[in-house]
Amino acid sequence: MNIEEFEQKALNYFKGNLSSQEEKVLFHLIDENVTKKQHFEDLKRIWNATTADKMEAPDEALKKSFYNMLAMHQFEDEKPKSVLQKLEVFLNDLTQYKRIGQFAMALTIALVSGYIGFQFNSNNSQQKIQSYAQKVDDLNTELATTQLKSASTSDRIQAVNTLGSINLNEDVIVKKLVNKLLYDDNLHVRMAAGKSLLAFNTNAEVMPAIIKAIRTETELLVQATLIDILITLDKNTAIKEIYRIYENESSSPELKTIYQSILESENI
Amino acid sequence: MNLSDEFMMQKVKEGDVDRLALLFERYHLELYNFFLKFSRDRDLSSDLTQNVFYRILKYKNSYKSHKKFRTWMYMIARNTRIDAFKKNKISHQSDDLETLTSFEADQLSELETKESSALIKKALALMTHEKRELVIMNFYLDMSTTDIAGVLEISENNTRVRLHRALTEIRSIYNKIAQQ
Repeated sequence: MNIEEFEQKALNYFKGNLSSQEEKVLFHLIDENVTKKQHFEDLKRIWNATTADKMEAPDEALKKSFYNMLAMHQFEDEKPKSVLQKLEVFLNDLTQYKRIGQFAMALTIALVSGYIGFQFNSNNSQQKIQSYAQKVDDLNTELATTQLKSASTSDRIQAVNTLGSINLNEDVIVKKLVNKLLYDDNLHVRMAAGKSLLAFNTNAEVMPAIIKAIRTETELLVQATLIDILITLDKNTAIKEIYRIYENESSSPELKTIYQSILESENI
Repeated sequence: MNLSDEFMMQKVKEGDVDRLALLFERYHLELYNFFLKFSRDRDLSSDLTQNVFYRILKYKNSYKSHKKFRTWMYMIARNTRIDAFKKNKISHQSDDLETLTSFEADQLSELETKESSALIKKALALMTHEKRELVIMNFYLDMSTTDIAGVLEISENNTRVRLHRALTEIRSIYNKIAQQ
């Protein structure tokens, strides 16, 4: 074993990387040769010293600057070369957004729509424009869906109003509206959801949902609105529901008076 | 799920640069200490560590997936260190013992100088850059001769010879300052 190999064997021994057989060979060499023994002891001291010289942690600033650099790099990578490309990148970002506020998103939709109009006028890049128009639709859908979960009542009202006109599967929209009609905490949102459901009057889910809402609704104003909607959807069913409320002993005298007037106004 | 360094770096190369964050978390401490053991300068070590990751991003397309990421990263680290030393006109000669003693006097307490970790720091500072680098890679970073050969782009035999020279030098310096 030459000196270079001996050194590496010694280091591997310190690192615990030697098999028992290799260790035997190494110690045999050390026991037989005084120079090698001295060499081994020197290396051991240095090894122990480097082990004692522990790793030190860098300042937190290093992490911050790394993550800043990463963000900058991503930005540079995505930096578009034309206005259209810029718009494309921006819209792609927005579609997976959740990082921007709803107001900013609504503003974006307005701006992008304006830009699309301008592009149509300038008769430029029609295919791209169509793709952006589709993205604006997607954004509208995304916005409405997000607004439905918003803490703000006006956002939720706006969302249920928008849901009637967006490009989304009808069953999905109805499901979302029914959910708001039955479970939203705010009476105005529940009313708006009921009114929006009118646009889907042929959907099989709508009528049972309205009836269920009438029976569970605790707010007189909402219940009256729903009765009104039900009359539009199906007068006979509405009459049955009104009689059910009218004859219910637990219904308040005020409620009965109101429904009596509805029945009279409908010549029922 | 494949979380190997090489897989992550391949993803970075393909444009998924977020994955670099994982490699940064794995290696920034080690890299920082590679520079720190070399230079004894915290700010410089932080800058150089940052610079390595910057270069990884910049030259991501030159990464070959069959190459060990750690080896490739230390090739970059080594070049980064050499470039910085050139730029800052940091001498490639080692410190002499007298300069070092005065330089470190305010950094190391009396007690510390008696400790082996302080001795090894001094010994490293007295080595030539080339040999110091080898000792750091072999002792501190636990790199095998194969890995070191990969970083230096030389044969394993050549690496073993250079390591032997480096070890001879550090033995001599360490014994000398330990006796003082």
